[in-house]
Amino acid sequence: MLARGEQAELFSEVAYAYDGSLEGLLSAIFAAYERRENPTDVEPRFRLQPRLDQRVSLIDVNLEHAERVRAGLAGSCGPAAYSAMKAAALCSEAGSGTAAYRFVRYAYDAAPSRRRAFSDVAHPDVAPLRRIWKRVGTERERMLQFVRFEELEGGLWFARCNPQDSVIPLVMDHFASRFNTQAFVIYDETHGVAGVYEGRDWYLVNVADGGSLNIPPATAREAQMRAAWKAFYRSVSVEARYNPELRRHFMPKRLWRNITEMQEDLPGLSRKGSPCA
Amino acid sequence: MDLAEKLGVLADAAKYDVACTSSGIDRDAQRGCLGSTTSAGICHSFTADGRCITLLKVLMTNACVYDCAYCVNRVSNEGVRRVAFKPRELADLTIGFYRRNYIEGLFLSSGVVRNPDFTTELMIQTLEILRFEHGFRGYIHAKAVPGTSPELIDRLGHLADRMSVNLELPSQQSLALLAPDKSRQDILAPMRRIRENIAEDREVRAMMRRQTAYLAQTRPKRKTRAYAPAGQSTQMIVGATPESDFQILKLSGALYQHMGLKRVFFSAYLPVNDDVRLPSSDAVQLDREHRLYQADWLLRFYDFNVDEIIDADHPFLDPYVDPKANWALNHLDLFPVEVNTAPYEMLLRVPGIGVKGAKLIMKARRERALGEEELRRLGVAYKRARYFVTCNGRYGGVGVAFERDALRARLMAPIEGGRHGRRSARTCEGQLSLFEEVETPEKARARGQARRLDAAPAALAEPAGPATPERLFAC
Ligand code: SF4
Repeated sequence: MLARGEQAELFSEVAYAYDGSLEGLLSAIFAAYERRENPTDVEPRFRLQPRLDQRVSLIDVNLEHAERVRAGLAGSCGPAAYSAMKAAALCSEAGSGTAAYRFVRYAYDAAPSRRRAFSDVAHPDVAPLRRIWKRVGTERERMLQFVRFEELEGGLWFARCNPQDSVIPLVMDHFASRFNTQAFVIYDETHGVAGVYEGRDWYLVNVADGGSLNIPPATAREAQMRAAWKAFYRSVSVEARYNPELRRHFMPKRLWRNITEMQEDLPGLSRKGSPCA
Repeated sequence: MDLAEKLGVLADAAKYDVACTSSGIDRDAQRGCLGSTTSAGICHSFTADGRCITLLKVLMTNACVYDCAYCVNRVSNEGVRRVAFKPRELADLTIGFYRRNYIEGLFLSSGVVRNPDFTTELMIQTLEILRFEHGFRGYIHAKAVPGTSPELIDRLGHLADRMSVNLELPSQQSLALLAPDKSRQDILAPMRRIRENIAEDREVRAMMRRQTAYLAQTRPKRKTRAYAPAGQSTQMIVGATPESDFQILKLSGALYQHMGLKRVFFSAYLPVNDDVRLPSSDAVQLDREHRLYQADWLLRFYDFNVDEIIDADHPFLDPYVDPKANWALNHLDLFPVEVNTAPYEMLLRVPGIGVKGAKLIMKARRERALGEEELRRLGVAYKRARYFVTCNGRYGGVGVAFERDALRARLMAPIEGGRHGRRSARTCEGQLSLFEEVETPEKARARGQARRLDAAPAALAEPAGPATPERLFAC
């Protein structure tokens, strides 16, 4: 191991590794300004693949720093820009943290107006963040569309999904207000996160190992409802218009295993993943 | 018969109704009630033909005393099994689906049992259970049966978010020929009634809002539901009768203007019955339907009016270029336009620039001068737009003569309809014959010989159906 001073000379560039949360990302941005550094990559720890000439600096979450960056951003760049930062923190695509950081650099250091920085849609430091914002928005929309609940013994409604980005926090408000007094859990098996709503407020639970997920059996009525829904789905297709490419475009195949009506169309799908198999 | 089976039959019978959106109204959730609506609508699934499923679209019953030539449920189709929902059964099913996030709400239509009023009463009962017993705040689209009495139309409208009366066919003669039980008057009367109710309801509400600001005590005790707050729509079948695109678009333009409709839907005629009054080609004019929707889009979102899109001398839309490109080709003197200065209305008329693209351009060009790179990044179809714009004075379409035929060749785009299905483009014109029957899976089903979509298409080759009087007459 080299001493710190020598390290700095050897490695020309620095990469920040944060914990993957929004607070972590905001803390990393704070750190960059505080240390007067300009990291070439800002990525979650589990995703960062440092290049040979890069020194990696681990960033710890600092809630106070994060809050200062949040307030500053939301205030001076507008709510849309802040919502895009949130999206970047939830996005699974490599480079999303960096895109968020680059945008902040541009907005604060170079843009003619901070408030309008995010509207400069064609700027190379803005466009990537906007693209991520859109991608996460699309994935959120897909979850609103395709999450399927089942009724479990004991009155709980349970949904299992596999979004490519960790969008559960973005869909909880929608379902909570829609289902109102109906308690439910949405479990994201890709990211090991569950959103829990108990009839008043919602919160997130980490179920990374899947061990703490204890699902009661489905109610008797559930099978009947599933059968009815599948019958409905089958009969609404108009044969003369058969166009599977178009369907896959709207309803990507990667999501099919958790969409009730599509499950039987997936050959070799193990049903043990579903609690009411 | 179990629930799934019954639902299968009644959904199958309802599916030819293409109008299926859950959009047009935002309604927040309310404590203690189930559901909400969002103005953009949510598609919860997609059929094998790529259409959005957002509502539970079913018939109350597929029994019908009418005899419309094009319909599976017509009384003369004796092979069809007739079933019906009880109001409570259907309401509970809707709630069950809604709680599972399968649907946004209910689209309720029905065959005519006994008479239009009796049928509508059944529908009203169902909606009352949903709204009042279950406190359901999701979306409901109700179809008014032509000939229903005005009082029932009023009650139905207060329970539904959107109402529709199907125009069915684009002209009175066609209607008389193919749907002899429905008169134009039967269809237009409820449509007019709904329009008036919506207008009146809006007025009263606006008045109440104004008043209650000053006189809080005049606030009504019981809040009545708004009358069809998501408006009214209609649908017509295209290709069963000889009307031209010109007539159809003129009609829909008039409907938007005078009936205040939110949407006019077109449904490519799909042969389900053998009947001498119907064309006997098995081609489904999906490409034509597609162009009509493009034209409709221009009417609703691009500030075009009908005369700009089509005229009596060229009564059919060009199958090879979309109507917007066609307009641009006919008005080359207005192009090219400079993206950095052109007004919004002009940007909207450039082929390859959509509503979203035009709005983004307006926004982005305040920050910087836009060139080709920027346009691409904004999601503009530059490949098409380049012939009609300049970016900072630079014309992007160099190399292609700026005249109609050369540009038309560049803009021709076959309709991407996938590699399956019976699209009209696949059949050549000579194939349409009035004296030969063509067998289709839909016809087989109308005779009670069901076939599933994924089953082997061998059934297609089977010889034509049983010798009905109409058939014998035709041959
Ligand atoms: S009224 Fe006509 S279109 Fe409607 S179900 Fe009866 S036969 Fe079919």
